[in-house]
Amino acid sequence: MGTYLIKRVLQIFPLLFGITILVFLLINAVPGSPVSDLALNPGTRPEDVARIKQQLGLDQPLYKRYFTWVGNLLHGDLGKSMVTYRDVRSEIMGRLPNTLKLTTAAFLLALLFSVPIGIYSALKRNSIFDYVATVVSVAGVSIPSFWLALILILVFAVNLRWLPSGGTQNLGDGGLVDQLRHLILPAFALAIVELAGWTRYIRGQMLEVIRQDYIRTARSKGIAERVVIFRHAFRNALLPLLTLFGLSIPQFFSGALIIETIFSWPGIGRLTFDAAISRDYTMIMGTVLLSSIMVVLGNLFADIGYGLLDPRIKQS
Amino acid sequence: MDSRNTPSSGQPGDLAALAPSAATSPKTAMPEQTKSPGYAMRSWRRFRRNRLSLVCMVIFIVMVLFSYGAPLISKYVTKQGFGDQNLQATFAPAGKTISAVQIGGPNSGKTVTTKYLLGSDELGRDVLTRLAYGGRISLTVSFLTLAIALTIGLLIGAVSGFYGGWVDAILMRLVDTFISIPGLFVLILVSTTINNNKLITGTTFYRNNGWLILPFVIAVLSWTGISRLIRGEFLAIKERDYVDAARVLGSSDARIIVRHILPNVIPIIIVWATLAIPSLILTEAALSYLSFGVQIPTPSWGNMLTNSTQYFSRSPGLVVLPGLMIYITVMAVNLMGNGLRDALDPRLND
Repeated sequence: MGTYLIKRVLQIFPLLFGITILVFLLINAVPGSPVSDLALNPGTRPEDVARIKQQLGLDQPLYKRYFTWVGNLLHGDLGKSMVTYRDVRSEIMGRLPNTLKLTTAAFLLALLFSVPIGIYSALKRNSIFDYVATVVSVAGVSIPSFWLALILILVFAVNLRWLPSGGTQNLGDGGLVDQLRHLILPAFALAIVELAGWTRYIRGQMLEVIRQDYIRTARSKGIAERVVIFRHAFRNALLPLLTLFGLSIPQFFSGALIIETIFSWPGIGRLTFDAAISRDYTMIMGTVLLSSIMVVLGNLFADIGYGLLDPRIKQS
Repeated sequence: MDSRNTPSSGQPGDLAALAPSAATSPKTAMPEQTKSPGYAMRSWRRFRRNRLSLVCMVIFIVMVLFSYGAPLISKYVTKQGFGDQNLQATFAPAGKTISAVQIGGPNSGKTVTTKYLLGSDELGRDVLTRLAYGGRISLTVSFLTLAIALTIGLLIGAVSGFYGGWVDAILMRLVDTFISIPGLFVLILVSTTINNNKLITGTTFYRNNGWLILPFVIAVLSWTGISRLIRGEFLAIKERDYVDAARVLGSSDARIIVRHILPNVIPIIIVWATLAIPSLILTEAALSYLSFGVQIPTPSWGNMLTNSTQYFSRSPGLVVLPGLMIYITVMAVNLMGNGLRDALDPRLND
């Protein structure tokens, strides 16, 4: 386990290095710069453009800019916003808790529904419940989540007026109930696709595991069905699920970008959207980098959890 | 990403043994009736048995016909172009007929009566016409993206799996890196770079066909899944005896890849491609909705939703309809893809 852990942790460093190169190249390798827009204004003097370029470090060659950027990254400095000149790191850190709140809520929601539904449909295979669950999960996997968000707003906020249509809390309120009320719609819209996907996956996994010999052995020993299902079957079905959860993290972040934009949720996604609209390159680089790091760490934790739960990996 | 779609974990023997018969049967099967049906025929029979998939295929074909028949719909059914505005007929409910005296345009001063089958939007444009044209753009973007992603993924996966070694190591680390960045973030990033680049946006081509950039942007991160799949298959197949035999006979690497390994991978490519279309349609829609994709006034299912949110209470149909088109298409292709997977990969349905 120890070597596995160390190996796995060491793997993320080249990956993070690769991500910095990719993020930097994707945005900076294309000719032209954010400053070239300034030149469109006839009132801008060329020396002003040159001065701003120099201030933003855009007059340096590409590789130098990359090393400056990475060097600053290692000091925890993500640079300054190209639009507001504010510190990118503090902007992001201010927004991060909101995104984590939303994604965690969506994650829990997906988990809370998909696990029992998936297990139950596998156990009652070909029952009415199974058919309904299958149809609903196929419908859920295919739904455009941003459209669902709009429909949810239309129904629950515009027509029924039960829930707020956006934001994290009402002005001057901010109690727990108020915050939860604001959380329901975006969390559900963000969760639905993963919820449906996981349900199908858990059902499939359970069906597979139930067919195994050791389940038959457990049953023939006369162990209660409930114990067979949860102690013997589900524990084994859970393992690949951990990897699936890890792989879902990028989807949650991508989803958060669009859901946060729709629900005016002040998180990383909304920040990225606003930065993209205002062409704030350093800010986008910061948010993309940060969300990628979260994904890498999430996968790392999923793998470590896998190692802890699976004795076969512990031994090797 | 979806481990259920990865038949690489099983033994590729059955599939490899089946596929060549598809290539040889058309020549030999014709004169004699007793010859067993080819791989394609057997797959089709298996597919046909799945009623749901069959229905979904029909729905998808109808969607494609509706979208690519946009000019016909515009000419004969709605008699409106996708950009024709009529500010005297904004927010018409579905099925309403409106007569209005035209101001300006070729029919200036005349009374023109238009029937809005699915209503009209905030500028009095016919929704049905725009849905058809929007579908054409959305589907075309998805198909083009698929073609580009398939080309990149196939090349990288084939090279990686066939040659192995440090080439494989580097290419697969590249794939890992791409997969670690949340998709929509990259898309926004790339889209911003391209759409702000004067060298690209200044061209007349961009001004007329700006949406053609989009498939390249989306393809930048859609190739990773298929390249991993192809690599896995190539790794397994290149160890087989007939590949050795081909090499002994002096075939070049390129010939072995194209003639001997690739045909065995085609079923996997077909299944992957079908199941990739829904996510590509969704990606295009999301990106266009956020206004980083297809730019107005060119309609797409995604960007038709963008403005509609401002008119929630006035005309909910504007929100519901484009989304419903996306939803139906995506669901149909998903279910069709599931049926196709079961039909093309006999290992899965025992």
